[in-house]
Amino acid sequence: MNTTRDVADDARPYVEAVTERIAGLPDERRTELLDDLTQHLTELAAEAEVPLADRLGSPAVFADEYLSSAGIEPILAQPHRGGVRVAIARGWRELADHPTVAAVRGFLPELRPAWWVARGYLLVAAWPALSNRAALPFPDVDLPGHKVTGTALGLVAAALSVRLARRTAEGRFHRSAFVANVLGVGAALVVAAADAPPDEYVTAADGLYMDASVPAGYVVSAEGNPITNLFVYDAEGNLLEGVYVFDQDGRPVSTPATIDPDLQTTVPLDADGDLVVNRYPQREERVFFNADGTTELVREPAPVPNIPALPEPPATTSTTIVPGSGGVVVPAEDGS
Amino acid sequence: MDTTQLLKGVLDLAVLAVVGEADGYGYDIVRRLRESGLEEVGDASVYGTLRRLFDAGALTSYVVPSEEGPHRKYYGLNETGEEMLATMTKRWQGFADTLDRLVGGHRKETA
Repeated sequence: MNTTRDVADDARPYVEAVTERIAGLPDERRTELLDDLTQHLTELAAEAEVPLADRLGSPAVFADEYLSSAGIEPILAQPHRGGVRVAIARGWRELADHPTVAAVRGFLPELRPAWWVARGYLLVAAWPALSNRAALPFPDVDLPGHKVTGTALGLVAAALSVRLARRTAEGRFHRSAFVANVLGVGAALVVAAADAPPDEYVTAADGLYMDASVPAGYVVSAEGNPITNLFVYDAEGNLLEGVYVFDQDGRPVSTPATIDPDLQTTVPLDADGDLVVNRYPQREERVFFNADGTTELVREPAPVPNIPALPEPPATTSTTIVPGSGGVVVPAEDGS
Repeated sequence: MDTTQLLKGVLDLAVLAVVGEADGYGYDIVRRLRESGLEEVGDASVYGTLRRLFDAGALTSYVVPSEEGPHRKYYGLNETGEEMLATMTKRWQGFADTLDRLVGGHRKETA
């Protein structure tokens, strides 16, 4: 503010006292009042024969008298009555005048054209995001069924937005520009909210999506389903009990306990008291209190899952999956 | 009687009258008011009053450059100011006559 720039040093406390009391006034009105006052005090400093302090008294009393004579609303003129409002206004001004904030503010106008483009595009991009909360990677605009149309519309909207901004710069369409800005910010919020992948999916390291309800460390099938138990059948379709399962490196394959909160998995101990984790099927039981009102604990074995029909035994030919081929299957040589 | 309180009610009229005589700037207006007998008039009150009268549309203002000191902001009466001065003068005279009669009657009784 240039109000106090030319004022004599001994007049400055009076200008500052008034400045403090009118912090809540609109900028234009404040500048007007302070410029006027500065003018008077500068004349006075130049012409009065006594020091200003002798003539004007205390800055606080002077400021109160000046403002009440000028008919300025007391609630705006007295900081102890408009305390919070005045303090906020002062804090805001100090923040705005801070060198760092001023530097950023100076840079912002250069970003305006980017905002004009984004504003138009976002208005179109927000449309599908509002209709379904699917993942929407900006700047893709995937209008239902017509991604290309959506993107084209987005570009047209961006062009119109820029045109509106240029017209506003010529002094027209201020209200439309304001509405466009508000809508643009709203659209940005909608797109930002929709842009994150839906909460129910987490990305697995191998690129598969898996259900977020599967805790980390679970064995997952190629289809992404969690495996908590294994059931092994022989060629005749008989369920094998007590089967030990190992992986390609000879490590025991263990499936973590069931994720069904109603089921309880029991794993046997070996002679040394260690858990035997790769013996299948693991025993899963539903554990609950008897419904007849007694406190007797009931353990009910979980049902064996239904499995599709096994191939007709015995198979006379086998197939080989070519290593490193990504799953190419060739018939094996018939030994007969 | 505290003349400061009396002054508050008539400061608008006093300032309009002084500016009506001749255009003036802040310090000059305060000085002329004091010279005419209102010695207790305060700078803050006069500056505030000038501001308020200007906001009310009663005054014009213009800056006169000065080579020696700071530029001076002069105030003058415009048409609204003239009308305001006329109305307030009339009202003041009626009020003063009434008080004169009151005070005069009292003077006669005490004489």
